[in-house]
Amino acid sequence: VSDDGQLLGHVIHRLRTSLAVIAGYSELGMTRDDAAIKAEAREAIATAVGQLTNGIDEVMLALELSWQPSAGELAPVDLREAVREALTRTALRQAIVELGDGAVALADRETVVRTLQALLRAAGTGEARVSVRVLGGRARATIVAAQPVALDDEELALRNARRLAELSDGTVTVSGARLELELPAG
Amino acid sequence: MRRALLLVDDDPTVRRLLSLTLPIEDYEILESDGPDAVELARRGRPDLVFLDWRLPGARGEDVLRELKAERGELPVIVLTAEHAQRERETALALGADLFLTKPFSPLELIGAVERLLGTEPP
Repeated sequence: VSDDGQLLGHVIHRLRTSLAVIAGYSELGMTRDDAAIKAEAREAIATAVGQLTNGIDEVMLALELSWQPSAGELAPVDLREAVREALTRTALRQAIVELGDGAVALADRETVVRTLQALLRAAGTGEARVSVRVLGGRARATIVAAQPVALDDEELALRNARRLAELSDGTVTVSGARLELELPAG
Repeated sequence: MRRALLLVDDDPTVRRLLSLTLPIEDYEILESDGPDAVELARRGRPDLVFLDWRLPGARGEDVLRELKAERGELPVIVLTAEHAQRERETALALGADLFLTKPFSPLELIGAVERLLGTEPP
């Protein structure tokens, strides 16, 4: 309960910080007659809206995962298609996709897409590079964010991604800016 | 005379927003993302500190304790995103002068600074 309380406190802090940026820059943009400030305000607000959306999505997902989540139906999943679908809803400013020959995992497709979406949220709102491959009999999707990802338990997106991955007998590993989802190959 | 303000927040966008909100001609702005806050306060001798309570790598509580241990009279405004009573009590016990809860309005921010520095217009 204490851990959950700390996590919740951290999430609220992040959401309200994004709200502070939106509110503050909105007022600056409206009151300052300066083109550079207005452009800066637009940029800051767009980023904060992305962070706010990510945060709300994570809270909703965590709530859903606190009920008994189902592993879904295991079937071959083309990770390239799963990545493409996950990228249709992301706050990343730019995603560089290198899908190569692709990889097929044995998992529930919907769960894989949601795991990838959680990992993309953990990657932030800047740029990221996404690739898929098979290595050592495991299908892997790798996301390299623009900045190192928080490793502690305060990162709700990572916690959600790990829980989702476990449903498909998969794992999530993080090293610096690199996030990797590993699943049984299909 | 320009007063020096130290802004301690791990989010550079929040620090930038704070510095844009304050009248630049009246204040010299020092910035810290947390870990070097105490050292910067030692060197920069600010007149007031804005301190984010949740800092990765350097808890706001620890920074406040050290700031007040070195300069008890230094006004510190704690920036929080929560209304948590326990955190408020902890910060007040350590000598925090004021709380601002995010999101805050520019007028609230400027008013707080003027009140603590005694620079309110007559």
